[in-house]
Amino acid sequence: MKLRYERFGAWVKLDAPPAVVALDRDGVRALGLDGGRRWQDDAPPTPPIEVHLAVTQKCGAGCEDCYLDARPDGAEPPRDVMLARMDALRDAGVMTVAFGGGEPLTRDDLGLLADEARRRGLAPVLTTSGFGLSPAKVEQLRGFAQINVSYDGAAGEYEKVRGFDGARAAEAAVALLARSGIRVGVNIVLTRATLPSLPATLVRARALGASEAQLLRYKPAGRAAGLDYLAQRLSPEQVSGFGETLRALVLEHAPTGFSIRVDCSMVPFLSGDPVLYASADLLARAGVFGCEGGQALASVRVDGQVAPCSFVPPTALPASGLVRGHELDPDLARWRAYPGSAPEPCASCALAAVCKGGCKVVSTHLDGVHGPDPECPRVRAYRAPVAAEGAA
Amino acid sequence: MNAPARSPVDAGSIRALRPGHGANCSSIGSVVDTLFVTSLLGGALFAAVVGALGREPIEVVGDGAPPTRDDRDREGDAPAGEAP
Repeated sequence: MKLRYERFGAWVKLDAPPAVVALDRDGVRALGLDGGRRWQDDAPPTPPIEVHLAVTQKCGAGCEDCYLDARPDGAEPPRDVMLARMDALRDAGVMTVAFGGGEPLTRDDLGLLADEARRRGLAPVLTTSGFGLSPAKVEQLRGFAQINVSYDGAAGEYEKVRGFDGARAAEAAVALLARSGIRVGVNIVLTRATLPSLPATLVRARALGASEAQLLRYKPAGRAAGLDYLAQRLSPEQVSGFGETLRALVLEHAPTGFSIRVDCSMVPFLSGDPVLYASADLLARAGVFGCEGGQALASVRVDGQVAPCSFVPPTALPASGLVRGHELDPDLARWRAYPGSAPEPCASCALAAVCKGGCKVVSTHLDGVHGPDPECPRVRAYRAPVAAEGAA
Repeated sequence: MNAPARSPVDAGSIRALRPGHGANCSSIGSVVDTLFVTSLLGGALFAAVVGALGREPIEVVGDGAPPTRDDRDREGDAPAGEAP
């Protein structure tokens, strides 16, 4: 297992069972270790534990909502550049590296990059559309700890999100990976039109051999930042009922060993569920992460620049400067500081420590500020009297 | 340096437990199963994690990793922690 000292104690990455654990100082001492300088009150913030690494900007799929605006002729860094970036992640004590793009399968050396990540002590994982995945290619991908295939539902549902029908290719990829013994999950982007079919999508994914589904919020970035965003995003009723939706799905699937995961931007939606809103400690102990930009999460773009997450513009910090620069970069520092100074209604929210103010991609797009998430049920309720007054 | 003594980790020392590897390249995800079926899944998972913590070899990474001989010569400093 990998252990990295933090002010609270340490992050520990386990392979069996696969998990990341936040251990307090007593727990670290029980392992015979001491955090020394890292446990001092003035210890600087640590680099991320998970980094999203764009290995290419090439992709021929042409999804209408591509947040990266990936294209068939997109840039693709040479192998030695990718290896140097992974050196920097290793030196920073990063634990998980999530390969993405573009479409990573366009790289001939993808399996080699996974193996090189392993050699550096990083747990490599991969997101792919599944297009072009052959049995021979799968054999090269065994170095990945997990591979997720973008799968928004069967034929028509998939098309509603991405503008073309790629469901068959995605389903074939999930089944092939599962048959090959590689742990596979599906990434499901939720829109107003496709949420009703989510139960059927999960059943289908499980039947294909997926062991996990990650539910993703539709975000206004890249090609998804147009006017269509307002029609695609979940409705206020769907958002308020999201906790109850999750509850039903988990109770159906968890006993079979099929896990459900939500992305960081969906955590504010949990505030609409009275039981979950009263369970902040449980959420924290379950390791639920809200907005971790500038903290546990960072993204390294295809040009090598670091960003707080994959959906926002880059900072001035190159990946090669992550070890020291993560602490000093002003943009990352601003993201890191936000949760501690968030305005109402986040300031008094029971879930604030977990949620960290919701998705800044959405707040920046809709409100023009790095502020409370305007689609959060609690923020909406807080603003409702003002909106009603303005309308009167 | 001798390997430090290691004793069982109390489950109460686990501040947060994030199951799984995760594999999304755009946003960080969290398994939510244990929010709804705590008694069934949570207990077994915590037990497995506590067992692994007491058993698996440890590699300290990041700036707390054991310094090299050159580092020690330069800093004249003791390591913050060393893996057993």
